[in-house]
Amino acid sequence: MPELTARLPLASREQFAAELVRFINEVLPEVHTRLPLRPNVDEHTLLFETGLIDSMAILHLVAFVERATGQPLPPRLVVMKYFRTVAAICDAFGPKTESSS
Amino acid sequence: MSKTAAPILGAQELALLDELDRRLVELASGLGAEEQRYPALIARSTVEQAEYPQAFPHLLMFAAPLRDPELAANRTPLAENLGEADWCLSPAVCYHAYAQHAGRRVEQGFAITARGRCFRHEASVTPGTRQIEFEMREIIWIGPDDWVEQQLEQGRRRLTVLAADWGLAGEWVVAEDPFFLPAARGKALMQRLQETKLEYQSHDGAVALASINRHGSFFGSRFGIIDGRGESVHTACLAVGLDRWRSRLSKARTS
Repeated sequence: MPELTARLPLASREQFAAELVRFINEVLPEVHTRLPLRPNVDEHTLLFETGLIDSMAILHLVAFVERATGQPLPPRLVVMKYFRTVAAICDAFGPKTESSS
Repeated sequence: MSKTAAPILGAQELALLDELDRRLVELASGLGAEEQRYPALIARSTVEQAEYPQAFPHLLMFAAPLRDPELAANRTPLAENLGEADWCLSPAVCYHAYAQHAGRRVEQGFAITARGRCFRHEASVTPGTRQIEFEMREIIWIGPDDWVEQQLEQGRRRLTVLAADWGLAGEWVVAEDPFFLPAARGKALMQRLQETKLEYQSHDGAVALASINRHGSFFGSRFGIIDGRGESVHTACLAVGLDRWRSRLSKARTS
């Protein structure tokens, strides 16, 4: 299960992005040993063109989104425009309103 | 269980099928594809080299002899008397092409077209739509990645025009192969993400009439086909379901 340090539901897009970047850089390499130890992605790193996300890693990525949003992700939404970068994932699935706190 | 793996076709249906395929061969020839005819049986080793059993174990069908023909006279159950299954019933046409060119160094891209009988152990059967035995006309491209992509796109555009000419208007949609094992779910998602498989679906969405499949260097690597730089070639195929086209056209003509 992908680990989230923040409490659900994630309150803001910034929080969602931060958790996702942390997940890819720190958690994913531990569960998917084909990844480099510290991929050092940021919000705009191309996740697929760089070869970072493969057919195993995508499952972990989808599981993260489902856990972070509390919603199952239908396959029809797993398209490149929503998954190309961390920013794209956040725009597609992250909270739409900013946290007031 | 149906007693026929595919519908029995009469003269009129056969004439329609042959006319349809003639137009497809013209399309393929226009793209420089050379016609080949492959057997209905394919070596099990080839299918394994293509990693088909790992991806689609539920669809694969085998041909095996009796281990001891004399036992058949004693009504020994078939399952207890099957020999080694060295052959499979071809699940697709393109695997023959990769095996044919295995180990080759390919200096420039080339295309092959073949019409072949294919076999898949489908869970449910609807004649003309989903059959155990069916025919496909495929165009297969083998070569450098940019050349394969360019040729595939040309083939896709021309097939779209041909389908419209025949009254089979539809649209290309992102699709995924029917991987069996849950562990292959990631492969199916990657197919969607990278749009490596598109299906030409009839406007009513009822059936996929054709598909294009981008394989990257997967088969080049598996079959040791390299380009002039020594790298694994790219491959792609355009597959037309002849039975589905014939069935739709036949219904349209009789209604």
